[in-house]
Amino acid sequence: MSGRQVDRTGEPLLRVRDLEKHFPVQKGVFGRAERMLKAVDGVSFDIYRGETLGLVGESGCGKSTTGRAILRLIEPTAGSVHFDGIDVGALDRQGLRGLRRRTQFVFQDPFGSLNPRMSVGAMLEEALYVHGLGQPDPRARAMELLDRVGLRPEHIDRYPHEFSGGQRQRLGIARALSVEPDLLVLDEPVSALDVSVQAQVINLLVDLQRDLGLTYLFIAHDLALVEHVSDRVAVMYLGRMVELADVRALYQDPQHPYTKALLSAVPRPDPVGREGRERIVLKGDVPSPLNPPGGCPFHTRCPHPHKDALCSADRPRFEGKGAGHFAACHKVGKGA
Amino acid sequence: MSEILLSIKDLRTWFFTDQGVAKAVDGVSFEVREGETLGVVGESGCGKTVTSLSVLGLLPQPPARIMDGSSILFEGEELIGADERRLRGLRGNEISMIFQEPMSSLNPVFSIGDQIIEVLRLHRGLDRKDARVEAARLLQEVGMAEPDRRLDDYPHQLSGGMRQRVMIAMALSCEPKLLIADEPTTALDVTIQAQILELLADLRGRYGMSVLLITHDLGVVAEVCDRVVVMYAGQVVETGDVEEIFADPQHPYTRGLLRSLPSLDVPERRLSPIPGMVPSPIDWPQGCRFRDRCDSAGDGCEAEQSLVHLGDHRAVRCWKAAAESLGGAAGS
Repeated sequence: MSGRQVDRTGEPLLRVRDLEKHFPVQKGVFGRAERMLKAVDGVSFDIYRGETLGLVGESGCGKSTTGRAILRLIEPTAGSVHFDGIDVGALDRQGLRGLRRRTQFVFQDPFGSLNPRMSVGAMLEEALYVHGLGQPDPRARAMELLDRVGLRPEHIDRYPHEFSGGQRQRLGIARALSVEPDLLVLDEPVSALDVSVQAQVINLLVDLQRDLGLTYLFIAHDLALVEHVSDRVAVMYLGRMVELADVRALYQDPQHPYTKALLSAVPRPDPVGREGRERIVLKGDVPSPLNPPGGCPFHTRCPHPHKDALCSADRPRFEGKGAGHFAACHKVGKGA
Repeated sequence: MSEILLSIKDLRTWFFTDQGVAKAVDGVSFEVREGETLGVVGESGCGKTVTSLSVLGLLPQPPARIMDGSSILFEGEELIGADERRLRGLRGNEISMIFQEPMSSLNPVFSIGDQIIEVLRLHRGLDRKDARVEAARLLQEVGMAEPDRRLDDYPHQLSGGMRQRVMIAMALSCEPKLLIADEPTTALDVTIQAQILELLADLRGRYGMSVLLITHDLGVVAEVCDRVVVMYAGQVVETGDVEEIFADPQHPYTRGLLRSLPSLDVPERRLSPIPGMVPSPIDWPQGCRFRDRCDSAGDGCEAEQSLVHLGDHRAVRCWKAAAESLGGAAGS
């Protein structure tokens, strides 16, 4: 994205350190032998107020699990999360409810997260009621929310099935906004939508952020979209973060071989340039997270010309490579 | 110019439902030439998949009905009204198809070897032993490591990309002249998508087959297609060579689609979406079907639009674009 400055001098709104989420997987007839699926395996990042952090990676890389674990929609196995200075891990039920007013989710499938038996008005008013908001006239507030997300106030008495996919996603956003959150976790918010409608919803999200000063964690697999909306971008592979940088630096000067391959694999709407473009086609599939390779998790598919024994023996640290650019690769220089 | 392999003329496939008649495909015409990759692109509900299923006679009738006057010629032979035996002879042998979700096209209780071998025995009359050798060769052909061992795997043991490779191997088993690929990479991750697209391009060259690629992804079209058919609301709205379509789109819908894409190369904060939403096939708008969403609609657009040919490969279903293009050409 262009021409936006985010103030990163103060405390971040969200601080995540060494987050882990391991799922036990039962093996054998009696389910005794347990193995651990390391969905998220030591992830650290900050998100500053008013900024959008894009989180990208292929299916199974742990990006959605990360989004859910930071707000304890699923309990993390280890690590710490601070939201606006509050230790999220130490919160009791009451405290969590307060946190969830300030942090909301928007999911990929809006239909799956809307109650089919509740009218739009009832749904929005319920959210307001639970958090003691919207007084004295919750219905008026609900109509205002519909207007805010580009729906009409008369939609208030309709049911979710009466809306198109794009409109449903607008409803999901309206509901998330109803409690006046600071942070929205957007998990593939437009993946189910057609291209022309996708752009409508993305523009809405951009406008809302500008008008309401929202902070976004934008989780998606579409690299062009992520570039479009993000200030900084993090790339995950097999439960770990492999690179994080300012959006421009990451897209124009990717450091990690995985990021390079990922970017080069995106089909571009440019038939004339297709012959000359350098394309890195990775061999093989993503290894199973149940049995990830030792050392650098990417070394089995890594096309780096100087890949060596160190890569298969030693897990590279996720470290600064200069100017806010982080990467986990033995072969990337430390930079200035 | 190469020979025409498949010619679809005025295809109308309608669905007779309780809610009304859904005119999913409503007067579609285009051709696939020998050795080319033709992309059919459009958003959900535009009729691109129903078109391809009509070619293979794979739609349940009723509720679907291919209306009188429709024609699908494959190497000059009319497929509409052809008897089931003839169609079965064509499917798999001359025309093969792969789908978006390979898991639902593979039988979960048979090994992939069994499934490929069955195809080879049925269509090519090989005995079991030869069929197994040939199946392993096909798996090798589609880039699977250790093909002999893979033959004994079951579909659930394979990743999405591997399953799609198996489907491609099966589709190739009879060296078809035409491969219809319906969103073959939509369910796959981007690095795996790149593998499959590369494989398809490579196989097309080696087998000399034509590919009819159905997709919603303009990036994929730009990467692999020679020519493009853009569909909207059950009709073809524009056709042309891939370079022309992307460099100089004529139909407002094509322009809108291209503008609404976020681009990796030219990042901008605001996208330009097409306003409104895709209309319902039960109730297509009168006149130009894109009129309500079009930024240049005006007088003349309330009339039904016909596909105007602008040149050899070029056609557009918009009287304004046609007038400008033809007027400009006449003036120069």
